[in-house]
Amino acid sequence: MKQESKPSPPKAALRLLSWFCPNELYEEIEGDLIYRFNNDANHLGPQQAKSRLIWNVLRFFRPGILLRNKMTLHFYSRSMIKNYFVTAFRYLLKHKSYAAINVAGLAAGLSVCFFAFLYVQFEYSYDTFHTKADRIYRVVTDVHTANGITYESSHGPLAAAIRETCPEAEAVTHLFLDYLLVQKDKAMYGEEKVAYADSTLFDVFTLPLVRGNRQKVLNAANNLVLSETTAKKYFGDADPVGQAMMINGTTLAYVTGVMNDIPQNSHFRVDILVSKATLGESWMSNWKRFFFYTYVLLPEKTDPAIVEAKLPSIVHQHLDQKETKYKLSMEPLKSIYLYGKARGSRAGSSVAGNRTNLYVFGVIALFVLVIAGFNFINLTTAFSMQRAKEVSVRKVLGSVRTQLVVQFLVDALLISSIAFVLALLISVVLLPFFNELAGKVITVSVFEHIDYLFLLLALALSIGLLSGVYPALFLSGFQPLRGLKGRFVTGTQGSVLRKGLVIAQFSISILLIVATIVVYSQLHFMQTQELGFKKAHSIVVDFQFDERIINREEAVRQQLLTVPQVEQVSLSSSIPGKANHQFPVKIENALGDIQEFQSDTYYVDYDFLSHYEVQVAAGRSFSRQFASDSTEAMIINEAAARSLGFTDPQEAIGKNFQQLARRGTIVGVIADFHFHSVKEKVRPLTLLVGKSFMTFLTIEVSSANPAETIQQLEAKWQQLVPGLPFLYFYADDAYDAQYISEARFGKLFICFAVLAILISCLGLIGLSAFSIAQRTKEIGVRKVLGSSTTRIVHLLTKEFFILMAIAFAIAVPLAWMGMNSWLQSFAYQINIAWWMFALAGMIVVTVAFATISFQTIRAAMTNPVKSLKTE
Amino acid sequence: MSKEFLGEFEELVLTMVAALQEDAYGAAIAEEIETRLKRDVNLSAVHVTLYRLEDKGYIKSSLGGATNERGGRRKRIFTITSAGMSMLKAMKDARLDLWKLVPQLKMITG
Repeated sequence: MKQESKPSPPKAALRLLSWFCPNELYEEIEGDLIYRFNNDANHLGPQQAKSRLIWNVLRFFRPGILLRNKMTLHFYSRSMIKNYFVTAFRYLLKHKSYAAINVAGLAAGLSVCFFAFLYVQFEYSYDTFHTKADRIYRVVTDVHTANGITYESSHGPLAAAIRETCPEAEAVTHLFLDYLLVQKDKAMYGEEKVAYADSTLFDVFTLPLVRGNRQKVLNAANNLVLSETTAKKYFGDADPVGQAMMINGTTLAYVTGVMNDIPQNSHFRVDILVSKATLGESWMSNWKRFFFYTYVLLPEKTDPAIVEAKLPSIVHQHLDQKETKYKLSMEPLKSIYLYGKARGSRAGSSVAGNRTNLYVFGVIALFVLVIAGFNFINLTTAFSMQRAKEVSVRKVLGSVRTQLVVQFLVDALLISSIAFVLALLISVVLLPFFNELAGKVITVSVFEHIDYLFLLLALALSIGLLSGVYPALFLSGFQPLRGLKGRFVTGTQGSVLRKGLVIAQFSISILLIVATIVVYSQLHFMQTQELGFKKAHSIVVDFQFDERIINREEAVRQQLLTVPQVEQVSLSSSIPGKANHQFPVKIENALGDIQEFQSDTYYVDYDFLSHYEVQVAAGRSFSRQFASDSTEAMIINEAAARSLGFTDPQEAIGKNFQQLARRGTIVGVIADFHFHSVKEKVRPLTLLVGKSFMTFLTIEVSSANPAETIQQLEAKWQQLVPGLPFLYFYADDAYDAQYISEARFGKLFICFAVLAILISCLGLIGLSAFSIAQRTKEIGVRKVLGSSTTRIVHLLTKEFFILMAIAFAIAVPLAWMGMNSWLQSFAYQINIAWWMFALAGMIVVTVAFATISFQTIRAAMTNPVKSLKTE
Repeated sequence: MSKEFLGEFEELVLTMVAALQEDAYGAAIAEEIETRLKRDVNLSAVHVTLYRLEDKGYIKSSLGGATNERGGRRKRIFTITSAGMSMLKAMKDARLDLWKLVPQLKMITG
């Protein structure tokens, strides 16, 4: 008999059996199984015996056995459940600061997460409200020229051409986004969200009409369909249908219908639809310029590639492709907002989202939540050490391990539930602020999003569970004797975990602070960058191409100059920061060839360049002395000269050009000025003297009392152009408006960085309080033996500084990489400097030191008699 | 009583409990059925059947001795109750009565 080699049955299988088998039957079944196993081992060998045993155990997993379990497990008893909660509450009340820190941190993290959910969901919901959204595509044009690619909408006649060549399209429509001056009696507004369209719009998009027949409302010229809000704005509660309104100060138009407001999450937002017939026929045959956004609705299960394949033939038929290549493509409606490029020029109503910002937002929200979660775990584990005695007493009194585990989990869940409720309150309070930060009304009530609230609750509870599990398992395994004997020595395992979490928290905080500094530095850099023109606080009036001004340009100018304090007046088709026209232009290049490219174009008067203080690099500026300047002269910028191959701007002077109907020679080259934001490089620009397309009047005022001057200007205005409102804005504001999204990005970072630091510090307070409490006696002994207060403070803070240093070392390369890639999207960017990291490090260290110093200093100053008495 | 029926496997197990007497416990019963009837029996099936018979009052059980082969675990020894015995008898009688109804055919040899 070889007793020592006797195989033993696999333990795991028997443990499994013990888990589902009723206790009173367990012993004999196990006995029978072992008996069988031994038999099998003798006859078939240990290997097969083992697998047979496992199989046999599994066969016991059957109702005949399972149902014999009595369903009263000990921790389900009702009095125990009550007891768990009572104990948990008592514990929280006893450790108020611990509870407050934990709850506050988690609540902040949760509410940030909630807002992130809302925001991301909102950004992804764009254009999904159209019932046929899956089948709608937008046709767009990429214009390839020698100077690169410009992204455009589509030509006016394209919709009709697609209808003709692509019979598989179910419907085709197009939309010309514009702005308009609208008058109703005395009420007068510059409406920014206006679109020209016809009835096919309703075939493609889901835009329900409250009043009017969708087949008819946009049929005749000068028909208007108002959104409900706009209708209320002009007509109050009266019926708007059939009412007349004045558009552009000259034309009478009639309201034929009212539509529901277009939801906020639409890539075009229109308040007033004007019938396309109002524009006139010539717009529908103009293959020269881009006005319209064209949309195609395909039948179910149709491959858009079929239609897309036919687009090049349309281009070939109607457009000269020699110099400029037009590439048409189709974008699915739902991806336009986040994935489409910003296209078109004047149409300010077509919005594009920023995917990067969305990702950044999501990641940061996650960071904040992670920090909060780590806090929770840290504090729970740290403080649970103090409960060693409690655990031991419970064990001595007969508590089972499961009961202890449940108790700890209930504690953690209770805290996370309270945090959830608090997060709800925070969200309700901060909602308006959030909408403002997002720059749009994302939601008006937190409780509209019950599904997200449930998700959040689930998140809160799972964080509670996750952070409860570690202390629950760790503490419930205490040997009661060790716990009762006295001070429980903190396990190194737990403190390693805690240190790791603290390092992670502070790495994230430093990362966010560096990001904030970089974002703001870049923003500041862009705002203070030499722009090449004078960005002044001048008054700008958009007179909406009013012919009374265009035709009497000089007289209007002179009249306005008579107003006291008015220094300069100039007219132009655009001003820096505002969208401008783009037209193809042909210019003789350095090789003597005629080069054609799509160019940004300004129509200006003689004073515009001197008014905006744009430097002339070669040749001369426009001048009234040359009669031909208004008919055959052009000024280009240095970027245009470079793209034509001239190394010296002087060489470009006298070269021939043709743009639209105008031919002539180049009389001057101006230095590049940033007529768009500093985010992009200065593009080639042509300037012409001319009345066409003029709409901006810039008035520079040097006044101690601008309000008075504006009043006088307004009075003068009403004499000059009666009926046209004096709607003005400031030139510098308009230019800075280009940085709104960056400014928002910066604000976002500040909010998150502050939150991250706050939450991390909350955790730090808790941890340092805990570690000091653990070392009360040590501090007392040290003081008795002659240690000074500073030495003790040093002793207590040293550890945290080491953690901070490690966090710094981790965060710096990550921050550098992240911010470097963010900066890549800017044409002119700052360099990330070492001081940014140093500053971030300083901030974190200062804040952290300030946080813990109060406690450490108090601990260090305590009379050792007191601390030694504590036991 | 007469309304109660036993299934075929139940009857088999009950009979084995009666036959094995002091040695009637799960593994032994399964083994006996296997060796005598050359029939593959699952241990869990025997156990479940035993518990069911005990619920019905045909057998009773008590914990018996532990042996080394069982890893020191005690056996549950089942003994047949008088109710079980009479049930078994009644079933046997009923079988025999039925058997008598079958025309007695001579064994044809060759």
